[in-house]
Amino acid sequence: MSGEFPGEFEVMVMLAVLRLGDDAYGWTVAQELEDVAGRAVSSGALYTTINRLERKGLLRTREGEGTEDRGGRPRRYLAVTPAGADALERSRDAMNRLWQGVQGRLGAVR
Amino acid sequence: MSAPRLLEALVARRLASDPHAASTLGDLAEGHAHRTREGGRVRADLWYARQTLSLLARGTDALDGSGRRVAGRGERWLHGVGVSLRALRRRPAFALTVMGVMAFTIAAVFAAFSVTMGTFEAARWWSHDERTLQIWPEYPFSRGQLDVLRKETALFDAVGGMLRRPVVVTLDDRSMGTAGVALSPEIFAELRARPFLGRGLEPEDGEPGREPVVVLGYGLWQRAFAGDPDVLGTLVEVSGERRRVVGVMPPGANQPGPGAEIWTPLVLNQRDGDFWPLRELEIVAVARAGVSPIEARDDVRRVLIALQQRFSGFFPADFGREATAVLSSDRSWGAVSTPLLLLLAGTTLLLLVAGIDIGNLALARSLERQTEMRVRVALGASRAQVVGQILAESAVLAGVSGIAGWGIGAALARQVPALFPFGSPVVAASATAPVPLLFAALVTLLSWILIGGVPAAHFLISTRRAEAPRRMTRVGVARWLVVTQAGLATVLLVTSALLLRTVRGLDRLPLGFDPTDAVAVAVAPSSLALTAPALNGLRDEIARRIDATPNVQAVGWISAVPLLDPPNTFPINREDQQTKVSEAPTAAQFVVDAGAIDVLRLDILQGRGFDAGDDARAEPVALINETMAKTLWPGRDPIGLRIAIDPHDWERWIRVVGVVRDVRYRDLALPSQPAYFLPRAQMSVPALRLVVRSGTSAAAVQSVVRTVVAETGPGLPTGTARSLAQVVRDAQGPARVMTWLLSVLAMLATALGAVGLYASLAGWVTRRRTEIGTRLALGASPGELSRGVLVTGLTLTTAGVLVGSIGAALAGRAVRGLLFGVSPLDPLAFMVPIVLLLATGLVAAILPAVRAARVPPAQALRQ
Repeated sequence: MSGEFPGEFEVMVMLAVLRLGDDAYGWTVAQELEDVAGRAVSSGALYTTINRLERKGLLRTREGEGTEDRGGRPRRYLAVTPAGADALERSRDAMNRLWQGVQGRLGAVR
Repeated sequence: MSAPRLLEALVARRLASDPHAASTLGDLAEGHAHRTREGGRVRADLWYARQTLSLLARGTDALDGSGRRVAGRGERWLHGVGVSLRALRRRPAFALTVMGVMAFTIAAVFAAFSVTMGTFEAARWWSHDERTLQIWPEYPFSRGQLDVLRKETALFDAVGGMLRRPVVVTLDDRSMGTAGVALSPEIFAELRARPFLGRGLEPEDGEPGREPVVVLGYGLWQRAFAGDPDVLGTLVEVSGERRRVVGVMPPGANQPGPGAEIWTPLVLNQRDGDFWPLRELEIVAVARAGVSPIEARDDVRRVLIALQQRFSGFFPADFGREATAVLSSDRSWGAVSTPLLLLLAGTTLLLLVAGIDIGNLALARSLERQTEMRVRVALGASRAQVVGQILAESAVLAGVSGIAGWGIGAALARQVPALFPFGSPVVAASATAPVPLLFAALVTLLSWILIGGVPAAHFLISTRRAEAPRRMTRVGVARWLVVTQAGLATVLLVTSALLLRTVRGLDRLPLGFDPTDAVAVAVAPSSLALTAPALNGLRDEIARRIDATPNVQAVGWISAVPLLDPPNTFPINREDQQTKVSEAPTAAQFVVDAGAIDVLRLDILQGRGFDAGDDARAEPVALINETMAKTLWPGRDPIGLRIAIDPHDWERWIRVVGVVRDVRYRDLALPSQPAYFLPRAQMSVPALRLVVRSGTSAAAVQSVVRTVVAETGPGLPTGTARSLAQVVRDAQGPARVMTWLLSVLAMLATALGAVGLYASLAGWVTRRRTEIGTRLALGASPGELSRGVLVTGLTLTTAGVLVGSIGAALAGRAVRGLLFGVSPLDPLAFMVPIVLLLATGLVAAILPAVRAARVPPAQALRQ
């Protein structure tokens, strides 16, 4: 991957996938974002983002088994690819660098 | 807990080409199950609905099998609507004009169809297997004659009477007015509609001594009782009489009359003057199966002619010979079919004018936006996307206008029946009746095709051409459209001008009496068996007490209120030229007192009026009207001459003491007939009406009369007060209603025609900017160019007006039946609309003309 940065919501989705580990799929990711990040997620936005991340090669997906709650429909498990991990680190490092020395000024603005 | 099936199906359809659709649906199902456990089914369903909406709008942006992006149709459509709304917000004048034109057209179409269909459907309800007939005896009928018909006709299952009257319903301390029908119970039993609750009127309800009952209409039951099913058995007061509720009719069963909501058994009192004609008494009969209306009519004629022959002195010679019988459904529809069909025709013309307008506006707008669309195509938008946007934009306009038009139309339709005279069978259909809705939807669809289809086709045609963009110059078509609009507006304006002249003519007719502030109330003391002098004394007392109440200016008694009751007609014997009864001329008889002459402001031209001296012991006296004076004693002074009016006492002389100005009493449009007036104290008549002139409303007069009558002679029935001004208006019939409705339509058509002419000329100036600029640069004067635009506008309008005048002449022939005192080719009715339209055309042309003169040559040339 070159120097491309994932968007804010893309970062949040990938972080949620990492936090959930083996249990990451559409519904749990939506729950995690709501519970931890306090952000209500619309399905349209979530699946569009997941598909985009997969297209960019930052996430990979595999079909799993269904359950009774799901009417027997399969789960689509999510995992962050090495390229995804690189993109996350790049994003975090860039942010950290930009944040340095800003705290005091933030106070001054207020 | 399973997810809502419908929403699931919607999502599944939306994600049909998404390879991960199953897992997405699975996630939603799992989320729904989880939320159901946490917060209940309703919250879970709401959550699912929100997710469905977001997926419908955005899709999932998945790749299909061949690696191409799956873009949802909904996404594109919603995007298109967003772009459209922004585009419309940039041109609010265009959006508002188009929506205004469409909404009002749709409203007019909906209202016209609602009233026409509602009336037509209601007319059908009021019949029984097409055997219910309305009998029209030509002469006003009485209770005695109804009895004779009942007993002696051979071809009917039932014969009954009907009185339609406004009534006041009082429940606890609330009162509301509505339309009431007193109907013979045996006829009620034959109606097509069955009661919704309880029972209908039954033959025993009409028997004397039974508890008074009432059947309520559905609407009244909803309004007054909030649809309470326990209403049966409740007591309500109907125009002062307590009645027990025995039934409720189904919705829509509101015939006969405009929204009848109260049905009571018709009970005609035996002592109520057997042969006193009740103008409002209508005869309804159910023919035996297989009997045609013609056979039924002949049966009625046979009985009435036999009656006339038995009492030849009492009934006119032609009594019963002209009686007709008409199917009730035909009659209630036929009475108003001309005005309603005229309304539909007017609405159709308006629709054409509006359609041309909308098409014109759309064309002008698409000309302006050609550049914008070409830029979008150049930036990579496909032609389909641009067309999609045009269609989405017009769908928003048409949709909003359609809904607004429907709302306005339903409100309008509810107002229309009140415009018709009391007793007209006009009703509006419900706001959700299928036929009016269908037509409103059709007009909305057509508008969409016009405002979306025209620019879309325009765009497709113009971008298909390989050569440099050429502007469409369909000026010829646009001009023809303007001519058509002006023509249609002329037809509507001239027709409404003809009707306006009719109503003005009826308004200006000298009535011979003054209806302003006058109110008539039927009080029937005849139901107490009193001697003539006692009855007269009682009437004196009632009049005296009412006169003493505040605000009352005059009060009196009269046997027949002009235009409300028909007077009886009697043969006249002149002392100076005596004849046999059978050869004597006839005249209408009014029994009045000085008070009634005062209330009606009858104009005494010669001699004197009545006074207290004209009592039972004095010499019998009479006033005669001008027509009677002229026809019976041409060229002579009638004062002091004597007449006799009683066929059984052919030489009981009455002295003529005065001449009164002619009073229109039978029909506004009929020429005056001979009539005479006798003092109440000298002529005993079983039933009289009380007439009161006061500064208060009919309802206030009614309550005063009711109080006074109750104090004076308890148990006297008091009728509903009728304002004489309203009686006169009702006598003008449907002409007034039609004038009002058509005038509104004509004004709308004129305004729309002006918009059309303006749009056409403005478009012409826009298209010719380069040409105009060139001509200005070459030395043409701006004034010359402005004049050119004005002349074009006037020429188009004139051509339209000329064509329209021919159409108006044909329309005038079609409405001849509604005209009175004005020829269908009345010059004034043609001139005023023509001048109005030409002036409107000129005004509509001014702005484009000014714009043409202001075209800056340099800028125009650069374009």
